[in-house]
Amino acid sequence: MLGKLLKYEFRATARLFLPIYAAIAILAGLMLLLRALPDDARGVSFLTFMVGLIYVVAAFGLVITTVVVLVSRFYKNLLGQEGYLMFTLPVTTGQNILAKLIPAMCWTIGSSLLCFLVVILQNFFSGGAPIRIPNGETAGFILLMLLALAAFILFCYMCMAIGQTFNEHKFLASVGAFIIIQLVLQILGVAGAFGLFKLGALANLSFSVDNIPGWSVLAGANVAMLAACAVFFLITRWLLDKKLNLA
Amino acid sequence: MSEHSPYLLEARSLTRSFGRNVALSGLDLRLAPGHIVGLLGPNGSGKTTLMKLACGLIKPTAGEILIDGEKPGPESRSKVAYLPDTSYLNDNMRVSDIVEMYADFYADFDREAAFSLIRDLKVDEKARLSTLSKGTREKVQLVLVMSRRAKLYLLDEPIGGVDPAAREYIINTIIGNYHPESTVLISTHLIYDVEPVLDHVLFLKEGRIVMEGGVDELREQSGKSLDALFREVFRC
Repeated sequence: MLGKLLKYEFRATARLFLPIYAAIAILAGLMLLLRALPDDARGVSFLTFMVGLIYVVAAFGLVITTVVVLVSRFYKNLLGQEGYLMFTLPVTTGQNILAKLIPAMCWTIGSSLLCFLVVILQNFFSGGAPIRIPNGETAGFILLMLLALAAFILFCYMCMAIGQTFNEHKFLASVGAFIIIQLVLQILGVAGAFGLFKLGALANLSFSVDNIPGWSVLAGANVAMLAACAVFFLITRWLLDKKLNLA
Repeated sequence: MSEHSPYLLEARSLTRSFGRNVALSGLDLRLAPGHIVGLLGPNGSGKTTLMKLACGLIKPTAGEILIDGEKPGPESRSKVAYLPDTSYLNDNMRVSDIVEMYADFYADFDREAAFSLIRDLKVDEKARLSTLSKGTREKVQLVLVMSRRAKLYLLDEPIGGVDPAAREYIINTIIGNYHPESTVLISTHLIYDVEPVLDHVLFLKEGRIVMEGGVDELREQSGKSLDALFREVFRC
């Protein structure tokens, strides 16, 4: 069932993303073409500038579209009128959430890669540094980025799942939940770090960064991020299972 | 969790409030298989709330509702065919896409029957939903629901937005696709149109059942048609 949900979700989102992707790919191609031309001609440099400008605007538009789509698909398709269909299909709530999360992650990754397409292509054509095979630490860092992305998306979902439990002003309540929980998490984070520091001072430990091996920090961060994903996912699922309140 | 129940739908002291507004108040209800039940009541009497509770789209404030002995969940959803009173389909999809989607997800969906109903109703299957009129869209939604072989059909105002000629067709569709081991619950205030097909009615007023019974008995007892009875019970 998850496969079927994913099929329809990718279809529904592709019609928004693919045209922008195509436009950016064409712009990237144009820029490479223009750079290949001798740049002493004034017209060419002006054209390069214009195409570059449009590229930046398009890339910026893409980033905004990605964020708007990942929030609005969840809100509209699950918590709006379309939720009447999605929550009466014989699928589990977990599947419904994953069917939003996975495409949202794919499109975000795709959009990020596209924004750097010109840099990547130029590097490739100008015979620049060959693409390095990532070592363990780079791989760990990439994993952390992906987990952080998933955690952020799931955090947004959780806030919307909280907002929908209200009988009125659901979206406002979602935004309110986002701000308040972020604030609380920040305060807890600072307090926690401060507490650790104090504890360390009491125990007479030296908290020098040099003493901690890099890989353990990375591994710890990955585990913490994974835990955050799990917590946000489980809360969202519980809210949509037990506290669903479609308008 | 699963207790065997002779009832397709069972509500026990079912209560749901929205803030200070009580939509359903201590409702007790049992629906056995094999009936076409009219859920009749004026606007705001709790008809839609009851159906949404049965689908798990909202949760009870107190009491409980069971579908075939179980709380609404993924299991019950495969047994219930629900027609909401709002437009709930993605506007960008074509009629044929939606039919295929239903066929994809519901094992009990009869794809051929759906396409033949769509042709009968002269709906262009290649049209996007956004280009269809409100009434045509309602017809499409009804076709989707009635093309399933579900145990319980919950139809919320199925004929509210369509013309009288189509009403007759829709009611015939409901009857034509109805089979004896299932139950159909139809909410409406257009009693005159559905009266001929109902065998049981529930009169809902301010979140409570004020009258309930077999259609023939009620007619006999009161000496009136359902329509006349309704006007009497709900006189403003």
